[in-house]
Amino acid sequence: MSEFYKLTPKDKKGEDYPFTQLEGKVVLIVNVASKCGFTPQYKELESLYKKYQDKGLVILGFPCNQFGHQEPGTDEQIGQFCQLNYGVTFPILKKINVNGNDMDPVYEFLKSKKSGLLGFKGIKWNFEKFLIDRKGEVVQRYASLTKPSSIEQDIERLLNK
Amino acid sequence: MESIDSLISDLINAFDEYEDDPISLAASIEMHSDQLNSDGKTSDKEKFLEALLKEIKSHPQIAAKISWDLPKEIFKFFTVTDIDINQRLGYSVIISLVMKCFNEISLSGNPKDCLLTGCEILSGLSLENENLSLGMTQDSNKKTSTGPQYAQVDTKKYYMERTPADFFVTIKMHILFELIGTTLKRINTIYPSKYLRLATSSMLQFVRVNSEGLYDIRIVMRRLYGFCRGYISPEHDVINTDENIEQRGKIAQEELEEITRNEEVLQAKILRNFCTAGLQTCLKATNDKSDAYYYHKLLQTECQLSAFYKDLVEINSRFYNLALSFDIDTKEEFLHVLEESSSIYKGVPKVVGKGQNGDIIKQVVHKLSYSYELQKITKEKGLYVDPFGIVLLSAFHYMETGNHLYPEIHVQDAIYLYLRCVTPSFYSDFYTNLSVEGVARYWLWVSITRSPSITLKEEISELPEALLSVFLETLLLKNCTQNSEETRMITFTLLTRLSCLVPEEIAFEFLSESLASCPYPHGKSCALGILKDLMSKNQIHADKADDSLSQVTEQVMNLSISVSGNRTPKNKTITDERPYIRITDERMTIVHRMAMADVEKVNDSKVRRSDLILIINYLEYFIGLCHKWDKKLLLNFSHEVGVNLSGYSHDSDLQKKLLSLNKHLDELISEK
Repeated sequence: MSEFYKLTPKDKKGEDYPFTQLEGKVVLIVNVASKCGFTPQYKELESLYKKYQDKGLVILGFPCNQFGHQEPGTDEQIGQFCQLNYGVTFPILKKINVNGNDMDPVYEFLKSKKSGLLGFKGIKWNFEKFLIDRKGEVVQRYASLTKPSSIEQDIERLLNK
Repeated sequence: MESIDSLISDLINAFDEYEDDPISLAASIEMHSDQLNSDGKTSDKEKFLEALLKEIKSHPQIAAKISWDLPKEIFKFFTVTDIDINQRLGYSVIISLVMKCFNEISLSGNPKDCLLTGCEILSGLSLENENLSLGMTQDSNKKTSTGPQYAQVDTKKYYMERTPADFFVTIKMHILFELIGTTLKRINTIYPSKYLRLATSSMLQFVRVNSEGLYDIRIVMRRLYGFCRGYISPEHDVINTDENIEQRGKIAQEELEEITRNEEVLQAKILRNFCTAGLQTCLKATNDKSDAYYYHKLLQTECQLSAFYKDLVEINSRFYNLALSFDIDTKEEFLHVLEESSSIYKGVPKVVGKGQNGDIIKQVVHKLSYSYELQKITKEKGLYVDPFGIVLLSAFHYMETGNHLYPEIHVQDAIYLYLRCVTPSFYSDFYTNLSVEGVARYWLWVSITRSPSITLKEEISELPEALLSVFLETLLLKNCTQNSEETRMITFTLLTRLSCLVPEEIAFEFLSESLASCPYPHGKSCALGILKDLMSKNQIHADKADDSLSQVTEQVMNLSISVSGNRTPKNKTITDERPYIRITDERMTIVHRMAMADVEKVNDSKVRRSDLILIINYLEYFIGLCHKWDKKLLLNFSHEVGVNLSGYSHDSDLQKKLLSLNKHLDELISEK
């Protein structure tokens, strides 16, 4: 079993969200923030989710306040914001750190598997994305500038595998 | 001067006529610009720039050939006569046209030429040069170089008006950062690190020259941060160009892959070096508040930061998180800095005799870190993260997370770190860095509040005497030139606490030497205040036990030299019989000698207010310790004060206070 499925982050209520439930799915993990220039990407993420949810796509949002303090709210406030402004239906999990000593194990794992530009492992900004295949392998990492819609082909390819 | 229509017509003709002769075209533009800038009206200059912009837009290939020269020419249109620096940028047509011209140049110019030109101009951009080129008077120059610096002064509002030079340097910096950033992305190369290094070196040079003089360093910090965060290696955009394929043709695929890998590593190193070096250079002339922040946390009081500092904390936070995203392991790097700092001082002998030998060793200790830094410059060839940048990031970690990056820090390491960071500034201004000094003080605070006094005393007693003396002297001297009153008071408290921890003999020697030779009267007053505390207060009993953090905090509160009156400790502390510094005949004689020397100095028409305050402090000192002091010495001092101040009337308030205290001392002596 991939190490990916052994991870158990917390959901917005603080309860376990074991990744074993993601086995066999294509997963897109995004570090999100409500007050960022990239926040409108929620809309495209939700579209992707709605379009491919039935085919096995799961999108997970991890709120993070490390970039410009653009995610200052509580988990509850963040959840409300996503629903009210972008009609987000994919899971938004508990707020975490994605860099530094207190980073969440999920991001420790993802970063160890796929580096960003210039080989940097650190997450550079909000809305970086990791794409994981049905076997739990991290296959791609996308910068914040990459729009979710432009990942669609990669997602389709993995879903059709 | 020719009419503007004629000049514009010449300009248009030049673009046609010299299509294949870029040097002649550049010369023609230069002549026209110079002519306009010496005699022309603002409206004529606007028309000319508009025409130039149109020509650049419609002849991108020709513009590409003269892009190495155009930036310098276009900048000549920034003059005080044509631009009102008090208006918003949008109001100036000239600024808008210059920016548009630069935009065209950065998009259509030869990227390598543009980058080189941009870097060259940025490297030479300074307030001093700008004043010269603007034709400012000597007074304007002075205003720029010595005026109150917003960043240095601990004010809550902006007071200083921007000088023209500051305005133009800042706006040119913006334009050049844009030019460099855009052209860097357009360069077709398999060696992007070469160009990135060129760009970052020029930016660092600009910051080095201007960080102390600029009105608001936060603007520069934002630009550096933006550059680092926005940098994308050209490989992702342009590596598959014809030019590169041609270059690649001569290189085997395997070799190319290796070059690409090495280039990635190099660029990452350059960015790590740049963000840490840029950060510390930007903050050279700005006080850091982490020591005050921690101090208030210890006292459970609110640290009130001005709007400037609140904003600065936010920018610092961005740099901290940028460092994390660049995979800088702040803790590991900080531990390395501590280790390096300790290694600088490992050769200092533990005990040295007094007199000449002792003085020589002290001089050596003073210079060790400076010599080390010079050696590093000559020996170090690689690209490393900047150690002083790391020191700053260590405090940003605390400001960002509320936790100390290395709470286990030993007081010895904190002292080595302080000496390493601060002493080089005695030899070269290049090493003066107020922010790094602030963080070094923050670590001193952490080190003395995280361990019991008994441990601290043991650790401190293991340090060489000369090193301890230099450390205390440095802390006092630097504090005498501290702009922020709050920081000054907090550091006096720190100095008092440290004086309690060092061996008694060293503490007395440091304080008495400060009384004898500190060049600042308020430094002497501080030393006197500490001496009074240490001679009158008994040692805290907790020395004998494992005192908890709260007790240590309590001790700090006891010693706090508050700006607004004395603070009452929450709990009663159990004390020992013995004071920190015992009063002996020899010590009384030494202090008396210093006091008499300072009293004699005030019998002079050039006496400063601070000299009189020092005598007041002496009087308060003797009044406080009167019951323990030698009566003859007290009488002698009181008499000398009376004699020397009898004819003095420059400052009646101080004189009244002096006379009243002297009278009070007289009364106490009579009662003895």
